[in-house]
Amino acid sequence: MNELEKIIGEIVDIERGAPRLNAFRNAIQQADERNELIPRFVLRYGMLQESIFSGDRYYAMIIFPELLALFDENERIRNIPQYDHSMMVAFKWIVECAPEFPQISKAEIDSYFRLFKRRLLERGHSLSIYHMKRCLFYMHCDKGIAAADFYRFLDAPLDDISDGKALYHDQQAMYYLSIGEEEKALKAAEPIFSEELTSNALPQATHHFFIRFYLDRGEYAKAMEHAKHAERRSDGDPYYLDILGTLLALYGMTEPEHGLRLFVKNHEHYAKSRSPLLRMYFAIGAYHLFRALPDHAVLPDGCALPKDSGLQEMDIPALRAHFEAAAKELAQKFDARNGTDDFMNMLQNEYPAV
Amino acid sequence: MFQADQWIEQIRSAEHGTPRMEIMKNAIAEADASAAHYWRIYFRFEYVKESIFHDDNFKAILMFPELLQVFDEHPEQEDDTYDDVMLAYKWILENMTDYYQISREEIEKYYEDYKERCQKYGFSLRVYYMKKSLFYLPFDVNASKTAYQAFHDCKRDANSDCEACEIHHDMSMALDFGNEAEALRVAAPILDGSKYCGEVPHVSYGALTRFYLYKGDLEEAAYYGKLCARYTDNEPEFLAESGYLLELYSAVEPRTGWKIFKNNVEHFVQCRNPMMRMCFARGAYRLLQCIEKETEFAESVLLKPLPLHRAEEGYRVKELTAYFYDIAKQQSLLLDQRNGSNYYMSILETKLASADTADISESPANRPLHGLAAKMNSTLAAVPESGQLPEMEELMQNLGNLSKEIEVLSHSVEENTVCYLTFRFEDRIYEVCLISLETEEPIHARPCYDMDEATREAIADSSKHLLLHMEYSDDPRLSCHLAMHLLHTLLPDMLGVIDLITQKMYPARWVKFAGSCRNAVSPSDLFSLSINGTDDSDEVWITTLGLCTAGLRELEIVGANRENFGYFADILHFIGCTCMEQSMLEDEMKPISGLRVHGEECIVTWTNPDKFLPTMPDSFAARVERTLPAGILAVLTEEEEAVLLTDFEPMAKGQDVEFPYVHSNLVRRIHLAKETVPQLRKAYAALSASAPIAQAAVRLEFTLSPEMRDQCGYGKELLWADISAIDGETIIASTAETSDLLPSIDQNQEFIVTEENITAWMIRLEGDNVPYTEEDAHYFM
Repeated sequence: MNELEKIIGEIVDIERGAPRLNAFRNAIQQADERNELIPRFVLRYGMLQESIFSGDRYYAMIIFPELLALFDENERIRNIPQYDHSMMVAFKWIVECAPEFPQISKAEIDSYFRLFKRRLLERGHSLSIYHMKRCLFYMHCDKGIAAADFYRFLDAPLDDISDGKALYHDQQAMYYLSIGEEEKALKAAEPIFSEELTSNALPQATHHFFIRFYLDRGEYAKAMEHAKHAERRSDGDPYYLDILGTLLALYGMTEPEHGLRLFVKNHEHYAKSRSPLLRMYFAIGAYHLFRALPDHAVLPDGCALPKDSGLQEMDIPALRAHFEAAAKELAQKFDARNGTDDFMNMLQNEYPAV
Repeated sequence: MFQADQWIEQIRSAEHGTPRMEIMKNAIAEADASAAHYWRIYFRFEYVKESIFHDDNFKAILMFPELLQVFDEHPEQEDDTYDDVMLAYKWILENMTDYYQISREEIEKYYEDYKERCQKYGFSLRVYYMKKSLFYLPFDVNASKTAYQAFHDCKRDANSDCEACEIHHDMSMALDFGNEAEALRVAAPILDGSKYCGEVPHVSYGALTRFYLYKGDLEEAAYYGKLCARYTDNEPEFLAESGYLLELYSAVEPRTGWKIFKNNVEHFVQCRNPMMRMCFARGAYRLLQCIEKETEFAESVLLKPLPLHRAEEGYRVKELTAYFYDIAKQQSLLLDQRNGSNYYMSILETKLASADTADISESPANRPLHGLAAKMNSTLAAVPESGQLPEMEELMQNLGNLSKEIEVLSHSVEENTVCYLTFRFEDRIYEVCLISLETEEPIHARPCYDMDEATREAIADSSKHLLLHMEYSDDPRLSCHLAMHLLHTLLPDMLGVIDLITQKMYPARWVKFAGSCRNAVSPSDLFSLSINGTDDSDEVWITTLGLCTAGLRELEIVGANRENFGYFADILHFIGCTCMEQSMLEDEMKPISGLRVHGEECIVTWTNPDKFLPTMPDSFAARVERTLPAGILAVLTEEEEAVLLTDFEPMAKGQDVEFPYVHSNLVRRIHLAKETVPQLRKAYAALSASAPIAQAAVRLEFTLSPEMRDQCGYGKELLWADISAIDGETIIASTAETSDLLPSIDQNQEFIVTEENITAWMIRLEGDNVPYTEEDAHYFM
């Protein structure tokens, strides 16, 4: 085992998230000081990967330009097929997570997409993944481009850069629901719900789309059917604050006490999260939960916010206002960046009465 | 504001081809009016793509200059659209040479423009040179060769054609440059099926058909023609290939050519691509020239789109010949004029070899014989129960009783004894000939499916027959099912059917079963074994009868004897079923099946009878006259030698043979079980009334959980369940076994049996060893 493999082996034994990211940061610093090209690249890739999958993608956005620069400026790295492939995978992750930060402009995101496309074409890759990620972004920017990209994604072959069959179906379900085609969405989701196809974030992410869909239509019973599957897999996981946010909104209309417990249990992850998108979804959901509660409602027995949360003394109206303000700030930022009012609409939406 | 998403959804919900293109045109008009430049490019690109892949590409040729213009006028859209435009450009370069209306100069300009754009965007020039080598071929072979070499010098990238298309290009250039051996060498991945795409091997078989036809090697041309037809017949985008097939069949088998011609007339009339029209018209002209010699007039509902129809007589063949010659000549002249050569006219003026004048030139060494052979029509004779056959017009009144899935396109009765019937089933057109025939001599055939002696005699001795001639498609089981359905519908009161090719005799109940249930016909039903010998010899010669209806050589075993012929008959029967199921027989000396003999793997192949028969001149097998192409089964040794099965030591000793598991048969029987649930109910009622039932069971399928699926690698488990009750339509069964893969299912757990969950059924009477199964459903029709 060489020195680099040893270092990485030690890092992956460390607890995921901040501790592991710190370990990568230190290892990168040492590699930079020693000017070791391959470790500088490999460790940055490792850190980017950890950032992406541990729920805090902030560092991914910082490390990616460094990784790209090392790749583009060093033929030695470009000539290693494994690293060339890693660079394309990193691109894929970045075009997915860049939209999660409202401070990254649409122009910058578009430039990432253009570069990604060019690199895919240069390497003879399918554009399936490009269209899929672009569709995801443009769903909240321009429905025409989202539609165009969706069908290009559907028609393009999958390859080794693509996200895999499960996510292929998940994307279809999401899109079809966005245009109100419930039957098509259910058909697309069937292999996911039957667990014939699985992925890390599935089936909870797919259930999430259906919860959202039925919640907006006031079909709460159907939404609850999906909620029980989604909650089981997302409760307590900071990576799924968006799902938890939607669940809070749903439980506000169906099982408020359960919603409150879920809120209290996961508030800590919300507080620590550095993903604006995930925080926004959670805040929107929390606002809807508190909006649905009467002013005099109290937290259930045995359920209390931590003292350092700053919220423990707040009553329902105060919590409502707090989360409305938090959600509004983020929703406005995202909408301004995207050029639509999707997220403000989500915040201001009034769900049909039960 | 331009609502692109609404246009896109509208387009996606429309059918491919003209319906989608109409909507796209409207989207383009609105995008233009809204100055939505991205969408002006997007929808023009989609229009070009739709025309290329779902139309005759004429509209793509017209639209492309607009697409390019809008793209060039709006550089702010370049980054987001350049890849689409370059892709469209590639398609246009490939297809624009088909249009004589586009001058050579214009084409050259497009090529240079495309080259500049490739260099600008960092694309390889591989596609540029590939298409250019094709463009130059008809008028500047040297330039074509230079471009072809340059194609190979450039790297592949996202713009390149797929690998299958590139291999096809290599093969076709080798053929065009006269290098047959090299062409076959490079084409190996296509010919063995490992490389393919939406148009390969279709166009490759077409190119090989043409090459051998023009070379004068009709046998080889016919072989590739058969393969080409499987992929291209009745497909409008392969109209040119259909044209090559017409040329081929004009030389070898006009009857088959006539069928292909009729199937494609409508596509020809609608096609606006000059190259495709020229190829088809040239083939039609050659074919009709031959048919002219046999018949003056022709009539068919499929020819309706053509002009020149005469109300009383139909089409005068001579007029059709002239019509197609004129079109072929006109298109050839125009394309040659555009190219400044005589290329297409010289092809039109080439006199092709015919079957009697063909002179096979030098062929690559050791070219094997092909397993495919000329297809023989199936001939079935239905025998009326009453001994009297109704008039043909009366029989045709029963056409209304055919299955709703069968669309009768036309039928015409001649002299009340012959009927030509054309029908469509699942997008395929079938033409059959029915003949009311009276014979003097009895027709002997082997009775099947438990036919009683009285019925057998009555069928054999009957002088009245309704004959059905039908060419089986490449799915012979389906064709046989349709044939049986036809016969039983037209003559419901029948004694049975004799298959005059296989010499098998079927009782009426089985004919009804085979005609009702799509999966009733097994590969075994499509051929028989003929076992022959003489009184004064121990030698037994075994041959198949009926593989010819699938267009395969008959296979035989030589060197068997009275003691071991049963053993070898089983092997031949298995091989015959395998070939019939796939409707395919590989070339001589290629593996066609693997058997385990006494635990050892053994590869079976076939060889030319001329390899062995001269070594046994006095044998019965050597003296038999073979009227159809045949092959002798042999074992392929490790040294790639062929050894007669009867000489192969383990088999000669009669050691145990294990046949490989045939999944397709299981699948067929599962589908048959689903089709025969009503017969299961009837069987249960009838059998339980006749004798005590020892066992009545169904096999049900259960879907495994994801964990179990991961564990065992498959998704469904089958469990037998005993029938506990049949109450009207409801069949209830309780599980007779359990499985570790289905922990939630207990023994004796009840389930309702449905078409969805049944996969097999069986009923065994007390005292019987052999149960009734779904294959015996014909007893309970």
